[in-house]
Amino acid sequence: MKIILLATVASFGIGLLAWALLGQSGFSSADVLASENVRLD
Amino acid sequence: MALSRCVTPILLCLLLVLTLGTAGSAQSVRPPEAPAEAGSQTLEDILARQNGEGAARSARDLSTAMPAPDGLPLGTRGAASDSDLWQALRFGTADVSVSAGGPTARVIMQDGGMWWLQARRTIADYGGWLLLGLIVFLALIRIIFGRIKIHGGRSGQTILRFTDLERFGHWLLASSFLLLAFTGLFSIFGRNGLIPFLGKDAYSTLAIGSKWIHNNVSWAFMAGLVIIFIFWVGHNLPARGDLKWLLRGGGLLTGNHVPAKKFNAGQKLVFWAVILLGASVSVSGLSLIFPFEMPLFAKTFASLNWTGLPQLMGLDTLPEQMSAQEEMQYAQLWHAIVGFLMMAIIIAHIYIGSVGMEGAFEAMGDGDVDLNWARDHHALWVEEVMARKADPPAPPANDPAAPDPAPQA
Repeated sequence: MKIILLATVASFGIGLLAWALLGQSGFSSADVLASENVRLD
Repeated sequence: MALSRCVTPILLCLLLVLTLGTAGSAQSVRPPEAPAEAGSQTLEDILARQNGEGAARSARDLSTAMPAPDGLPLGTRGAASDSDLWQALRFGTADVSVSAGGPTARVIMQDGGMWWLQARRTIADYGGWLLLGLIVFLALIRIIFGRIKIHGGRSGQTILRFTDLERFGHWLLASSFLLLAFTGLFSIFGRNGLIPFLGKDAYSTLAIGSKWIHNNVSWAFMAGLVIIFIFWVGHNLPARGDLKWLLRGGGLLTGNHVPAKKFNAGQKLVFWAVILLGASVSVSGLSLIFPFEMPLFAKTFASLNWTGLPQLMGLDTLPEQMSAQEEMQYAQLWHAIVGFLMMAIIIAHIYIGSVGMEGAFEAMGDGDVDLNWARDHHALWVEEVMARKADPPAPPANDPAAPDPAPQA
């Protein structure tokens, strides 16, 4: 049962690591589609 | 129209999307197609509508730079009206330039989003009923047939089924999948299923948290997928006896078990379903995490068209040119379809591995299973383990007629 707990914690740990590495990198659909950056000519 | 337009081609790309998932980052953007129901006013269009036929718009009446007819007064934009401009924006024919965001941002209105929205709702409906129906079905199986018992009862002796590393890989995959499944369901059923009960404020918090978990825990899922693939692929290759096992349904209900190695044919099906669908849902998920960076479907559809498979099935040629937004829509729909399929498979897997079968959970719980359970479901594997030990096996306590594997504990 310890392994189940360990693996669950690892899931969140990997998630936190991914967030730290990628989540702050600007990858987000909202950023890509930011309408304030769009101008009609 | 919406469902048939999107779901059928999507179902076709199951295998190819796996191999073509790492399509290059370059993307070609073309304006979304004009829908058939648009209200153009040529005589042909009017007659077509009167006959109940859709009248597709074409570029001829969507121009924002129409010349001023002779004798007519001009407005501030010449002969072009606001309606012309908005129609052109809607159908992607307007001459738009943007200061940031690249070609993707030139699509101000995404008319194709309407069919996607409808298809998303349809998939959510079918998926929801699939899961609910499966849960009811398994409950009925449990009530009617009861729990699958260990033939001959527990022996009191155990054998190591899965090592710590194997179980860690399994539970890494399992825990991350459960998080992804629940957060995915929270997302797809949010507007119609949760907001009426939770309210928008509470759901907003839930949705934000779900998105964070879904996006970031996905990496743990992919890691778990790789780990179990490495550990178990060798045990899950097709082998003699698999077909016999399948034809007999594993003997799960009759008790007439078919000898199997470490994994029986049913488990092999689950393994390959998880690997293939897991890889596919991962690729489509990556395409969603990094929007517009990994277009998948135009190339996949082109490959499918090349095979001739869609035509053989009586379908039209699949679209090989699509806007970046349409790529994202296909990715989302495919992600949802595969997600629902995986959830259905895993619900059945959880059932058989817990309340559905006596002694099964122990394999992934503490790693040791009862010897009689192992003989019931994996008799050939027990023989292999005992042969490796090269010790004269002792008979289990209450099954004297059985072969003699040596107990581990």
